[in-house]
Amino acid sequence: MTESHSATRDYLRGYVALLVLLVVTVGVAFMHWGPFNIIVALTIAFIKSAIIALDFMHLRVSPRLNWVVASGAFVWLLLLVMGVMADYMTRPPM
Amino acid sequence: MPIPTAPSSAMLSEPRIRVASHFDSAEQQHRTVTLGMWVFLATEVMFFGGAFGAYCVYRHTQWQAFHDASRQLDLVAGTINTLVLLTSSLTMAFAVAAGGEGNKKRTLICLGLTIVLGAAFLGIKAIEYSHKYHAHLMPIRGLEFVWPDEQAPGAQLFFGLYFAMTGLHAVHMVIGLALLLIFLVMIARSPSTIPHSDRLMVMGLYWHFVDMIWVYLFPLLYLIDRS
Repeated sequence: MTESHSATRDYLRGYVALLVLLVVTVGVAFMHWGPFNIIVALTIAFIKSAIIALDFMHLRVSPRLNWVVASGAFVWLLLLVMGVMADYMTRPPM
Repeated sequence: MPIPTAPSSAMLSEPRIRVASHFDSAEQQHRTVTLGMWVFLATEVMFFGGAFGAYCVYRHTQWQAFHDASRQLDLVAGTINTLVLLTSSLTMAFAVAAGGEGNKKRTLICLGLTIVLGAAFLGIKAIEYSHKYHAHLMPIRGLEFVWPDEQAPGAQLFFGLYFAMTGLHAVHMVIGLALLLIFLVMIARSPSTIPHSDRLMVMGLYWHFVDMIWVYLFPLLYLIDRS
């Protein structure tokens, strides 16, 4: 019983954190920070997705192999975006 | 390390998960289906990754058009939809937890709530799509695309990506809802939730993943520049 209670508390804590971050990310969009807006927005999105993975998807208590697969997927996406953008951002404007 | 979805050390009288012949134990089967689902989700990241990559390129080359076009999206609808989807993830997590404990009534209630919230998300999305259609912001062959200034080609690219990415996401939602309905019927007709608990946990992973995609789509599409 105590086990399920602490799971419920984890879910609720994660949910509240997600709602707070939702308010923050919408609020930040109204700030005029130039290129920092996208950095802040993506950082918040990453924290939100980490909360979903760790709490809701139980990655926190999953075997390390699942961590490897989950982070591998994320790193793959980073490689794709970084590889493509390294090309486009160093080209002279079209 | 307690795994919340794992069946409790079931007494012999309780219904248990059927262990397939190629597994040694329920524990091994549980670990395998979880890992298998994570591998599938990794392929889903690659699937969506192409769209995210295209988005990055065009946001870089057409940044002015993307800033202008993003303001045309309905921020209130997008925020409400994010709230709806995050809440549906919470009810899904509760459904998985209740299923693992064998609490049939609570499992069914939480699954029902998840279905209602998922359907609400798609309903709000449909209203947004219809507004974009009437505002001539749907860059689909045969439809007129109306944009006031010289940023029209870039705006067209933005809305093309908007419909492709949110559309792909919505397809995942529809599949998720169909699966949830199957689970609802299957569990309602079954004497216990325990034999379904591993499947339900995998269903939860899928649902949370679709939520996670939206967590990135929302700021990238709706929140580019509201200042």
